[in-house]
Amino acid sequence: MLLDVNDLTREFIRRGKTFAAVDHVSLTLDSGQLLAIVGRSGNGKSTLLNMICGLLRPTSGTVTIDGVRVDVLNDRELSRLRNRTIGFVTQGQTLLANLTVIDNVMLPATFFPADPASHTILDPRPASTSDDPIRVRAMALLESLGVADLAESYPRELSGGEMRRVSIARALINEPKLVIADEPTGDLDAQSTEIVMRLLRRVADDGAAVLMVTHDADALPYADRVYTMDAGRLAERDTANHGV
Amino acid sequence: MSDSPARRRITPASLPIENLRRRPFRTTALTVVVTILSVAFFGGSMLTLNLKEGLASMERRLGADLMVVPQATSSKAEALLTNGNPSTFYFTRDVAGQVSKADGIAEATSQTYIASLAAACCDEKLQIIGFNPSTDFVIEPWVASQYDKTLQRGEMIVGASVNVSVDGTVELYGRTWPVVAQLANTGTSLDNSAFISNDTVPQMVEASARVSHRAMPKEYADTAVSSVLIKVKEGYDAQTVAENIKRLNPEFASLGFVYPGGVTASTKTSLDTLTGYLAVFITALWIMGLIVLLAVFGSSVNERKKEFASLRIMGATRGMLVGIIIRESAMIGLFGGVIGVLASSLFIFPFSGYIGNRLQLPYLQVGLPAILAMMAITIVLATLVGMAASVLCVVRLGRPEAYLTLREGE
Repeated sequence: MLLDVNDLTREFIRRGKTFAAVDHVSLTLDSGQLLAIVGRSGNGKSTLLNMICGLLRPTSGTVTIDGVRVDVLNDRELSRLRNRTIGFVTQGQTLLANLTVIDNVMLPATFFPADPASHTILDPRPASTSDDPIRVRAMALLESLGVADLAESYPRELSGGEMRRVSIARALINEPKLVIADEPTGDLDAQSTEIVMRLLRRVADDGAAVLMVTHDADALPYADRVYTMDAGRLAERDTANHGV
Repeated sequence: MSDSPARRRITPASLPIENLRRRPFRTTALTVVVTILSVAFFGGSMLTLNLKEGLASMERRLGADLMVVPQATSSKAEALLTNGNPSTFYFTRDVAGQVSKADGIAEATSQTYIASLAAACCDEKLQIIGFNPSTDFVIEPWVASQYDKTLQRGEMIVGASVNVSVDGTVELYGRTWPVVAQLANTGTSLDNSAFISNDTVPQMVEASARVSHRAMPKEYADTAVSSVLIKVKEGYDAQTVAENIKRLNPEFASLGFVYPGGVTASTKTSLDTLTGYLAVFITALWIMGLIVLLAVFGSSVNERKKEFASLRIMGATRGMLVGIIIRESAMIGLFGGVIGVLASSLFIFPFSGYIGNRLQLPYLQVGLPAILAMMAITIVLATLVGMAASVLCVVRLGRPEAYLTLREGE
C-alpha cells in the first residue's frame, strides 16, 4: 500500500465555532491505481490533499506514504518526501514567472542533488544540452503533453491550459511514486483534458499511485475508484457510475 | 533537441540571480538605494579620515609655539597653517631683532611670505616662504629627511602639490628655479608652497617686478620679514611670552600674535563639528534607507507569496527559501556597496585637493591600507543592510501552512 490515510481530521475555527473541514477520513491507495475524489467546492478536498502532502498538520489521524508516517517528519524530511516521492499538480497557476518553461520543469530535480536516491546526481554542467538527463527527461515530458515547442517560453506567454500541462510535467520530473493532482483538467478544453488524463493514466499504469480531485466528468472514466466528499466526509461511489 | 552547449541548470542556489535578472526595475531601484547609502558612508568616512589625517599632519608640521605677525594679518597667518589661500604680508620695519630679545624665548627665526601669481607649475597661486636656514627650527627638521644640505641662494624646495619639470626646475615669474627637493604631502597649504632661503627673496621680488606686479616694494625686499616664529623656553607659555614682547615696546601691542597650538585646537573644533554633522547626516540617511528597503522587501512578500508556496510544494525546505531571499538581498547589498564605493572613489580621490581647498581645513589623503579597509567595511555593511532588510520577509515566509497561502485570492 503506497498511501494510507487513517481517520484523518482537520478542524478550523470560523466565527468562534469549530468545524471539521476534513472529518474522520480514511482511504488507501496502491501503486498503479488512479483514485478520483469529487465534490462541491468548500467540502474539504484540497484540505485533505494538503494534509496528505504534509503542507497542513492534521488535528487528528495519520497519513502514511510509502511506509513513512508524514506527521513525524521534520521540515527537511517532509520537503524531501514532497520532492522525491510526491508530485503535486496544483489547482492554480504556480509556475515561476522568472523561469522558462523548461527551467520550471527541471527545477524540482535540482533540490536534493546529493540525495543517494536521486536519479539526478550528475555533473551540474554537462558538456552539452543533449547530455543532461534532467533536460532530456523534461523535454520528453513536455513532448508527451504536447507543449515541447514552448520549452524556452516564459509562463506569461502561455495560455491557462498550456500552463496546466507544464505544471503536470513539473510534478512528474522526479518520477514520483504518488501523484496528487488538484483539478488537473480544471481549465482545459476537451482535447487537452484527454491529453492530460491519458498521461495520468499512463503514470498509474507505469506503477505510480495517482490521487486526483476533480469537478470534471470527462476525467472520471480514467479513474479506478471514485470517492465523493461532502461536508468533510468521504464516501466511495459506485464504480459503474462515474458521472459527477 | 539540438546538441547545443548546455546552459547551467537553474538551482535553488542560482535562482536568486535569475530573479534579480528578470526583475530589472526592482533590482535597479533597490541597488540605487544601497548605492546612495554606500556613497554617503564611504564618502563621509573618507572625508572624516582625511581631515583627521590632515590635522595630525598639521600638528606634526607646526613646530613653533608663537608667531608674531604684522598688525591685522593674524587670520592670513592662520590660513597659512591650515589650508587657506596664499598671501603676502610683511613688517614695514625691523621688528624681528627686537622681538627676539623678549624674555622666555628659546629660539626665534623669521620667515617671509609672498603669494605668487598663478604659475605654470601649479593649479593655483603658489605660497613662497622665505626662511633663514641658520636660525630656522621649523622647516629644517621637516626638510632634513628629504634634503640634508643647506639651501643655496636661488634654490628652492617645493611642496607635494607643485609640479616640477623633468629637468628639476619650476618656472616662476618668467624664470626657472632649480628645485633641490620635494616634500611629502601634508594636507595643508604647505603642499602648495615653495621654500627659499631669505637670500633668495630679493631675487624673487625682482623677478616678480620684471614680469608682473612687484611682490613687495624694493626697499623692503632685502629685509622683509613676515613673521617671527618663536619656540618658548621650558617653563614659559606662549601667552606669557607674547605679553613680554608687548612690554618691550608699546607699539608692539598692536602686533598680531598667533598661537599655533590654538590654531590646532580651533581647527580640531571645526573638524569635530563637521564630522559630527556628517555622522548625524549619514546615520539619518541609513535609517531612512533601511526603512525604504524594509518596506520594499516587506511588500514583496505579498507579491511573491505564490512563488514561495510553489517552491514549498515542489519540495523546497524552509532553509532553501530563506537562502533564496537572503542571497537576493545580499547580492543587492553587494552590488550597491561596490557601485557606491566606486562612485564615491571617482569623486573623492581625483578631487582630493579641491575638497581640501573648499573645506579650508587641513585635508590629507590617508594611506592605501586605510582606504582598502574602509572600502571593505562599506561593502560588508551594505551587504549586511541588504540582508537585514529581508528579515521581515524571511519571518513571514517561514509560516508552515504554505499551501493555504497559495490558495489565497483564488
